[in-house]
Amino acid sequence: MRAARALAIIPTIVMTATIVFVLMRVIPGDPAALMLGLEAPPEQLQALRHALGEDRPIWKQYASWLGGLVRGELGESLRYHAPVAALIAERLPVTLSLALAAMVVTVVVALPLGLLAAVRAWSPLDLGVLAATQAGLAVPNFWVGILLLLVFSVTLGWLPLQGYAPLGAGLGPWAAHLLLPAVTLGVARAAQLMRFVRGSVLEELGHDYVRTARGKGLGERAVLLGHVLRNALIPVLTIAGLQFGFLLGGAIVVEQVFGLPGLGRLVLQGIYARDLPIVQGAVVVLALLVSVLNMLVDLLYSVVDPRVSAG
Amino acid sequence: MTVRRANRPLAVGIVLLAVVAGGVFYAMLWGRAAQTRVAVEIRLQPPTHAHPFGTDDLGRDILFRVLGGGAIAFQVGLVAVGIGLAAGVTLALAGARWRGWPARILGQVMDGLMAFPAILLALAIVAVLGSGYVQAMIAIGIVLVPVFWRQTRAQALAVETREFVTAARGLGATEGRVLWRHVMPQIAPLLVIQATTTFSGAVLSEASLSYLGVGTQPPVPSWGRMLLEATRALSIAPWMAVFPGLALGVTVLGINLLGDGLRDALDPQLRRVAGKEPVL
Repeated sequence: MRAARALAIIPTIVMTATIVFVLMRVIPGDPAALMLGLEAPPEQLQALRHALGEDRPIWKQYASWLGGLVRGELGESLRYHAPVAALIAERLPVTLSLALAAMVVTVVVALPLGLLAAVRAWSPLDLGVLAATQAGLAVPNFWVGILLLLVFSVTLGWLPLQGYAPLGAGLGPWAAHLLLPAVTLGVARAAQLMRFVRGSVLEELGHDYVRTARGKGLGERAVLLGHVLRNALIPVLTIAGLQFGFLLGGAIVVEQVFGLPGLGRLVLQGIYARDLPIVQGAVVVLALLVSVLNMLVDLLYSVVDPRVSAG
Repeated sequence: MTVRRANRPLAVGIVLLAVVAGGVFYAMLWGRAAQTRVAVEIRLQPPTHAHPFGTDDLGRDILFRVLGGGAIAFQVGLVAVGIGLAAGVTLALAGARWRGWPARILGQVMDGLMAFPAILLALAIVAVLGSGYVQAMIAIGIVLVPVFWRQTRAQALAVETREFVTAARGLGATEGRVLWRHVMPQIAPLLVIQATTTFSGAVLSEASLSYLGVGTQPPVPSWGRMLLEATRALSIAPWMAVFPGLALGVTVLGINLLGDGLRDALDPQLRRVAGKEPVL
């Protein structure tokens, strides 16, 4: 069954690649004109069309797009004169580190606070947590980032203002450059996950097995951590998995706030420079990452909850 | 107070939105010129009595620009949700009637679109349509189509099996009449809730696209664009970064609370504790 779920990703991948192809190649009519502008000389347009492979029939272009994806070839950037795949490979670690760090922030904030809020439901603490989640969901992440920059980088000068330090340059600089972006990206997701953990734990607390566990003399701690949390975490896991997809999307904006040279910035640079091969490649890679992650979450779900068959 | 505890979100949401909408309306009627009036001699002034939110790097009044940004945010949000709602519901109802491969392909395409992070899909669409707030509206609207499609389809399929639908068919009602008179009224409350939730997402997306420089273009004021301009003067004029974000936060909070309140009012069966899934 699990193998079947893993294989089911193939049509998803083909569909994702097709959507990107249709969006980039079919809708604009003439990408070459879009890239060079309306006043470009015809010879230049023709040369670019040829370089993009646009003078071939559309089905041939589609076949070579899919074939290229399978081989890991995403065409050539017009601006950087380098293979798009190499440009993406350079920036992917930045985006993944950011998303992972944000995931850590999300879970570390959301799990304990959500659990605490549920245990003390409707107490001042709980109401405070609920109000904070509403606020966290309402503010745009880039504004949170700007405010954090204002306080910690501009005013206090504790953390770097812009840029990224690879892990190879040492753990300290890497973490210092990633801390604010990770918090920025994690805030809204933490708020959402916290709400969900609270709801899930509250629901579990109402079940008979909790009374049984308490009745047989288990301490509150053992009841909560050994029984309630275990069951409450099953739906939470799905949400957390889906969150990762949102994190990858949110990373695009947050990278821009902190000047992180990730995939999102590459997409934007591609858009600014009208470099469609870059946009096309980076978009398809990000979308495929999300699809693969969703599949992994599905599989993990069936491991945690044996009643769910991943079919 | 007669407002029930459960409907407090509705009341607070309406009040917050009314305050923002009132200001926006005022600025639309009497403050149009003030939004773009450049006055270099008073540039980068901190909040004063004459300019409660301060002035920006071109000496424009930030309060009026914030209110003008609200007009754009509401406009983009309404049109985008309108596009998503109209196209999503139409496709879902049509798809519920077509059986076989057309419905399957439509389903695959919609699932495929949903696999994209929303902002990424919007960016990809803007990449081909070009920058601007009309393009942003269309892009966000397209992103919302599968959201409405999925919900309408699930609901329509559930309602289709109900007895009153079978009865209406048995009495000879046409397909269109069954859909509009019998299926739609059942789905409408949920669509209203969904529209509210997606509206706040659409407003946030417009701000994000404008912040990234591909949404609303200068000199038209937009909250996202103002925040982009603010980052360039962060160390000398921090007030430029505060007020547009605050306005955005208050507006989105108001819409979210309104959505929660509507959910309580229109569909008591839905539990609020479970939390809602964001779509954008």
